[in-house]
Amino acid sequence: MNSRESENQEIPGLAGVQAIPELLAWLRGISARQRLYIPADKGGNRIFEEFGLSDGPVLNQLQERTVLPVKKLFLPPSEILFDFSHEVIRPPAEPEDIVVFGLHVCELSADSLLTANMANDRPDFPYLSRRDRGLTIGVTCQRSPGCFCEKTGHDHVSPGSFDLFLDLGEPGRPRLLAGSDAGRELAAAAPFVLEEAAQEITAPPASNPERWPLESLPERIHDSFGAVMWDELAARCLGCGNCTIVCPLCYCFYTRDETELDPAMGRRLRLWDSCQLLAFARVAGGHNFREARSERIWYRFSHKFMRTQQTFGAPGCSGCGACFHFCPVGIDPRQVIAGVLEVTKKSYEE
Amino acid sequence: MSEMLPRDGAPPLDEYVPSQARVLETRELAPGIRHFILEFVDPGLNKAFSFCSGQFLQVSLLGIGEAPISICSPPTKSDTFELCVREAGNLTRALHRLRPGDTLWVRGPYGQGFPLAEMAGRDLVFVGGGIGLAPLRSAIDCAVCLNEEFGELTVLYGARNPENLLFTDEYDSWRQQGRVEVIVDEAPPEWQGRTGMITALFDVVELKPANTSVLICGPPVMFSFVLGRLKELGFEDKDIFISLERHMRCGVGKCEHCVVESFYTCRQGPVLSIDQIRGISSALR
Repeated sequence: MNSRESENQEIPGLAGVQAIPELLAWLRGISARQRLYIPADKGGNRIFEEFGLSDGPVLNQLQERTVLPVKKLFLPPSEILFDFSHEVIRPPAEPEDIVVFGLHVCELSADSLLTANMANDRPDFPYLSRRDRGLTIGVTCQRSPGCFCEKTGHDHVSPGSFDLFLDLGEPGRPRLLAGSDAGRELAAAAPFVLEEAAQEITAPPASNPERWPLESLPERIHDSFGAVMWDELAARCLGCGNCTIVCPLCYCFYTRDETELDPAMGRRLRLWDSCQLLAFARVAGGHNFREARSERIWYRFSHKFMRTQQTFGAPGCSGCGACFHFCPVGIDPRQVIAGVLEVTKKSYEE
Repeated sequence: MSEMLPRDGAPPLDEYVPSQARVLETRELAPGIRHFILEFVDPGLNKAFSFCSGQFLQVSLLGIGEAPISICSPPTKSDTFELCVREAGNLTRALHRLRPGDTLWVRGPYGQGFPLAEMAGRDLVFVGGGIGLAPLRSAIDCAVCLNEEFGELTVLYGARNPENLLFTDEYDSWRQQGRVEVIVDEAPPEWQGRTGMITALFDVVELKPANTSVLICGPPVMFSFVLGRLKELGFEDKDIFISLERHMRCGVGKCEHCVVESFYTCRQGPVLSIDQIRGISSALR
């Protein structure tokens, strides 16, 4: 991690102003006090990894998306809900304080929406207790290939959605913006002047800044149920669930008990699930309420653009483009929504 | 969205940690279906526990797993609660092996039950199919107990065959407050009762659609026939309440398994009026 190579990288927007070693020293200082996660290189892909474990944080490639979004730290792919031993239940260890560096604007926005969802109605304790101990440091992205946050409205975040934000928007003039008291404390040894985040932070403008008609999408998604476009998508889709795994706003889960050799001892786990998998809506007795893949794909889009939009006033799609980027057959939400707009065009333009 | 971050709020209670309950009595009701009378091990919890007819619990055995099961006793019975469990998989098979003194784990109650309070002064018709009688039994017993609050009570119940009929020893006590009509799909020659579809029972009772609420629970295949018949009789969608079957896993609207379009069956259901689910193509399959 301390290799010359990593210290000589240039960060777009930071080059010539602040030396990488100073930034690394600040991050090292944070990691000395609590776990710090930072985008790192893993076989050519970016992943959020604990600072100090990887060969080197990829500070010069902060614009590239990570394979798994930050949700993996607050809603882990597998987590213990409780341990049990001979009919005695023990809660898991308290979550640790963590800091995550390098979240893009769309991911900060998605993180806020996911948290709002988990806090809504009956609060999800395991998620919220972990999220409550997490601090986020955003960074200006340079836009990953295939992203489209300008279409989903997740192209800006309020100062309350992050603890710190490293704004590299103006070349040669980096700004470190504070969004919380915890962020201000974290910035104590930072090699940047700290400013207050007074207003929303916006992502760099896209070449095609056309926002989807989010207000009417719930109804249009509803009306598109059964349309041929979903069958066509189903014919391409492999049903692998990759899109949901890499999505910052997918959070379906199931629980499973795991036992020791002594079956009276074990733990109840919560694990990521995917609404794209065949067994997802199966009930006792074998009846499956979503047997057809076309229905399952429609459900995924209806969750994001109908239900989440109706409940929270924002779609459950950040526009990060990860589902498209990591889809083995290249299903692109931009084309799916274009299809929905097309098949419902008549009733909305009359 | 920062105002939604619960940073300064009190820590929420952990929904996913169940409480221990003890089996007081258990008996086989029908082949593969057992009835359990339970109480919480913690006496304080036993006292504090309250629910509505139609609500469900997440029932589990540690090391095996968890499943949603409707409460089949009335909320008017305060010291114990009852479940009716059909053997359908690993968990329910293990539940069937429990005997008095054994314990299981529950969390809940979850969901919206039958809005009995809003039905005060009206006639009630309960339409049950198979094990769907279990949550209805909670509502029937509640209505029987509070009979002055309601008009006439009618129970229409169908099962596959006579030995699958549930709670047969209770029909006489229900009949003291109302009518109970039973039908089976198929029966041995010695069966004295009716055979045929449950809809046939609507021909033997006289109902007053304008002042009657209908409570339905049964296999999804039953719904369209029953709803069709109710429509013919002139019932309005707002007066028909149905308990939807889905696999609720978390019970609190988080895991997404039980969603029907824009409804979380676990939170907004399982009981919904036909009015509420009109236009949702996949609700009644």
